Amino acid sequence: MNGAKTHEEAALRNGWGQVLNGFALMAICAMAFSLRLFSVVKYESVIHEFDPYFNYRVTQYLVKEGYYNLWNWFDEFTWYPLGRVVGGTVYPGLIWTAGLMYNLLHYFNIPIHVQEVCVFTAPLFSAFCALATYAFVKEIRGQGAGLVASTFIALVPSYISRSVAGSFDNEGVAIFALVFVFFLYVKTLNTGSLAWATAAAVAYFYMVASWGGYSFIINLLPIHCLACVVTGRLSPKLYIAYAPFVVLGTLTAASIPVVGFNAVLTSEHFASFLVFGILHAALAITYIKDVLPPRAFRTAQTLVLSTSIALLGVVATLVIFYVMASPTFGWTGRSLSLLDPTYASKYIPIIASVSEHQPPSWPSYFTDLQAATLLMPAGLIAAFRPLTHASLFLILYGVTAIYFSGVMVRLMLVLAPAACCLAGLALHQLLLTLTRSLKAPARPSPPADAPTPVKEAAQRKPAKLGKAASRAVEKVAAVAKRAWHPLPKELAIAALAGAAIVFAGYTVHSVWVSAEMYSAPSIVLQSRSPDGSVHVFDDFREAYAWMRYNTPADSKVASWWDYGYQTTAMANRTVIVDNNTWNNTHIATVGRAMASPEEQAWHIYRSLDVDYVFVVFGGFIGYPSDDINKFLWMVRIGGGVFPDIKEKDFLGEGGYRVDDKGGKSLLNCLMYKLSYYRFGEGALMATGRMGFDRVRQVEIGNMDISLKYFEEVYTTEHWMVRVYRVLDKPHLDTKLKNRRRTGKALARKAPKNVDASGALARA
Amino acid sequence: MEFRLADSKSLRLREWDDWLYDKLIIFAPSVAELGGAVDAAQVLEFVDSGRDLLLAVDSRASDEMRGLAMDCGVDLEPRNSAVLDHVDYARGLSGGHRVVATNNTVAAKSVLGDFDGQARILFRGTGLTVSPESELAAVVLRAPDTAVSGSAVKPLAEGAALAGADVGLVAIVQARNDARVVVAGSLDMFSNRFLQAAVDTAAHGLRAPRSGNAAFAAELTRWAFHQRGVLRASALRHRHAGAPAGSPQPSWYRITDVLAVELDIHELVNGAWEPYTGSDVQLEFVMLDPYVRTTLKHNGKGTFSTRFKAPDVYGVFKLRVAHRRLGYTPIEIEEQVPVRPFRHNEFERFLTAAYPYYAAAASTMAAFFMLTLAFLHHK
Repeated sequence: MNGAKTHEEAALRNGWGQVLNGFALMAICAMAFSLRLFSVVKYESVIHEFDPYFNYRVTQYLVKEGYYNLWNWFDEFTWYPLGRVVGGTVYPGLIWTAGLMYNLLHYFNIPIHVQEVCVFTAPLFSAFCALATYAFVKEIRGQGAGLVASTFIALVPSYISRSVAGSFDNEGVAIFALVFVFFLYVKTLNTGSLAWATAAAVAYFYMVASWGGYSFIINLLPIHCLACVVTGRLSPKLYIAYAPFVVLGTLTAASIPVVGFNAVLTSEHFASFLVFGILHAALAITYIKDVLPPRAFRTAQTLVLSTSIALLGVVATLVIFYVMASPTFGWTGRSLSLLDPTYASKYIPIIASVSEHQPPSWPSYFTDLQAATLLMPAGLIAAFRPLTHASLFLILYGVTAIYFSGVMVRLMLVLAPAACCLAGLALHQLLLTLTRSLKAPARPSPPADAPTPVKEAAQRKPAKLGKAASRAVEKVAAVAKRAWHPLPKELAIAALAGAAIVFAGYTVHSVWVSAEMYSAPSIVLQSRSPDGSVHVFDDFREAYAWMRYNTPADSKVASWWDYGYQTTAMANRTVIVDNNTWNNTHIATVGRAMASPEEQAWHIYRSLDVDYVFVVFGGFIGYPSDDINKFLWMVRIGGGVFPDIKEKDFLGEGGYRVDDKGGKSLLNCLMYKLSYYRFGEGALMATGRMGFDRVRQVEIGNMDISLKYFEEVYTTEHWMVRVYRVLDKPHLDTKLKNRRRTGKALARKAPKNVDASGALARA
Repeated sequence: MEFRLADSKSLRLREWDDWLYDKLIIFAPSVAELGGAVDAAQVLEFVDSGRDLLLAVDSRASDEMRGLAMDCGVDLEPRNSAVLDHVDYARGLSGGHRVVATNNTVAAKSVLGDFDGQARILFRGTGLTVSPESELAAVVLRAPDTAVSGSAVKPLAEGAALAGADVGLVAIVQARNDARVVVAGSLDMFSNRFLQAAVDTAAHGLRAPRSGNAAFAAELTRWAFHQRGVLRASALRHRHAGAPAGSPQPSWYRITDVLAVELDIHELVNGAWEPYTGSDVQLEFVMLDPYVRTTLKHNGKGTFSTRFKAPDVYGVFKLRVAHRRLGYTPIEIEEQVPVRPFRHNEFERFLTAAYPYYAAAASTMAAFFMLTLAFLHHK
């Protein structure tokens, strides 16, 4: 009787718990979304940075032309005159997503502009990501841990940096897709259902469509599978989770044009096939072991082992030969730069030149993950107690992500969900222990009587979760029971307060980071003067708008590749190179032009039909990421293809400097001239000192700049963008001199004999 | 026609932004500074605006005139040098060995028209040269083989001079905006005395009752003042080879498409536009480099056409006709035409070569199906 009542009570509490859980999740989603709106509030609803402009432009094309035309889009506005087959070279997931949302909203007669859809896609998907994380961790450790982890990921600064409103980039949806694939994989591991496995493959398809980072999944899953095989965790569920995923995943991945046959041809994908084979072999061995008597099995073992080793040798040799035949051993440069962190800086300056491809510094871990950094190791330990298929997966994910984040700042983003999940585990475990200690009776009593939350969870879980998950929860309970010694109440309260402070600190930090660090759209800059007033620098849009309305529609604009996407999207003009750095030679040609003296540069630009050149210059107002500071990369990238450009020619006394001790080639190259043209007097306006550069904090070395082949047509308010026109060929060859005769002709000393007897006749 | 003294104070070429004249003849070799508001730079501007200039200098050419010639792309020999012919000079005119008789003209009907090149042209003045790199300037009258260019006053230093046909006498410059400039090294060759003089050379004893100067000068000025060698290219149009002429012009082509390209070129003959009949007009299909270069055929009515297959390379191509011939208006026409790759559904659907693979896939599927049946229902 008593038992029935308790059961009813428990059911009621459980129901209320579910409702509370639902509200908590909604609150987390709302928080994740609204935290990312600082950029709209502080600036405006505008697309940020560089790549998002391309995505925005492609989305515009999609909503106008439809999916098939996007697939076949040949874009003649970029990479002139090569053009770019956008449909075959873009990861279309993000664009599909935004296009679909746009069409859906318009179907319901909500007349929203494409730009607004694009601006708010990333915040929306960060809310989805919080849900996916909840589901993922719930599969590993239950609802409580899931809620904590999803709170963590909703706030984690690293992810905020890529998903603020306006940051319309692949990562915004890809991180959601990544976690969602992991959730479905773990769900399949726990349930052993083929339906979930198929769902995982479909989610993987979305991930492949969204981001090149999908290769992380297709390598992490084999690692996990292999670890399970090696540690004797081989089970039919593992097979159902892994084998269909590889087959279906590879098939679907290959149908994304940008991946295509790479899905079976490049080394990034080989691990999954190898493990696929190993998994089958391992299962076959267990099956045979079951079928055969022990003696026969041993004989078979030696027989099979010897033949298979021989066979494996042959296959391995073939694969090695195939791989050795390609200069990069079948790896793409980007993958190699992950495996060998020094690879890019040695061989691919174009990858090394991007700041987000540099290794992160230690402080950036604390900025980007904050409390999660501290809790992550604890989470790793928590994941081991007990070790299940699912928690093993989380451990492997965490460990590999830590390595990759150490290679590139950008991959901190892959670490963020892992860190949040692990931190969620740890914090959840901590809270569990502390609250149980609070609830525990003062005098020790048999633990079995204590209505611990874990036990409750264990009782109610079977209905909600798969068997494996409930077993995991039971195991947790068992471990907890074994190890449980209630802490003194005072200590527990103090520790709870400490945890609350840590978490509050994390929240405050995240909000601050979101508001101050990651919300700047980088095309509009703000500076605060000492009296607190805000000054806005809108030079980029000013320049792009000028180009849009004042240059012929078919003119070609050259600049360093960073500004290519923005030029096509905002100025609507053809560019020579852009941020999709697929053709190194083309970029090197532009770098070479910038590093050449004016006349040579003019010839290079003329050969590319360039009509306008613009440079980004920060010396006037002190904007540090300008072209002069990027210039050495132009030299390196140019020099990588055209060896006549040597970096040492551009270095002055003691390195790179723009004052009169700077390198000779630097002071005469086109980039220098275009940046500092008329700057001698111009600097007087800004600083009151002739030719004083506020970024480099020096007086420039060459103030007397005149241009013969270029003509300044526009300079923005703060001189940040300077647009020049490439002059046409002169009508007369006045520059040509007859070398043999000119020496004499010029050497003559002309006496002034005025003999004006000639008649001047005009017809 | 209006005559002015070169150093006249009231000399003006333009009023505000309007040029007062279309053609300019400067026969003032030794004037140190042009008069009024005019200077060499303004004369260059005059040429830059598409107007014509005939400039005659001689051994006394001033710095101003030298600079002007040089800025047009023609280099004069040093001051006080002259073209001398110690062997075969023309007798009967003052100047002795400095009067040269030549018929070494360039063979270009576009410049000299019907001038037959038989009559000798008498010349007294300075030599000139044109840079071999020059795209625009060309020498149309050269000295005879026996002539040299050297100082008119000092004895000739050994090997210090240009000789023979290397000595240019008259050069023409065809500017990119179709302005035309003639630089003659001799003012006297246009004088009445030279025009009417008889030819009588010292060594070969060539005699003729009249020099060729009059005919040469007439033809040369006809070229200089746009009465000859003027071309007009218009209406570059392209379409798919299969489409009927005059169908709307496509904005892009696919790789390996066959293009039909047409273009009208007319020549100004005696004040009327007549079909041009050049057989060497070429069309290029360029993306960084020319992928196709083909000669255009004309139909006698001024329409030049050709057909060619686009290369199997996609990109933004340009149709380019660059026709530069001596004495003719340069033709530079470019039109941008993107060439795109195949759409996803434009590839061949079933390849003969792939049938073994289709068979393999089908048989695998069948075998799998049968195995499944056998596994499930065979006990």
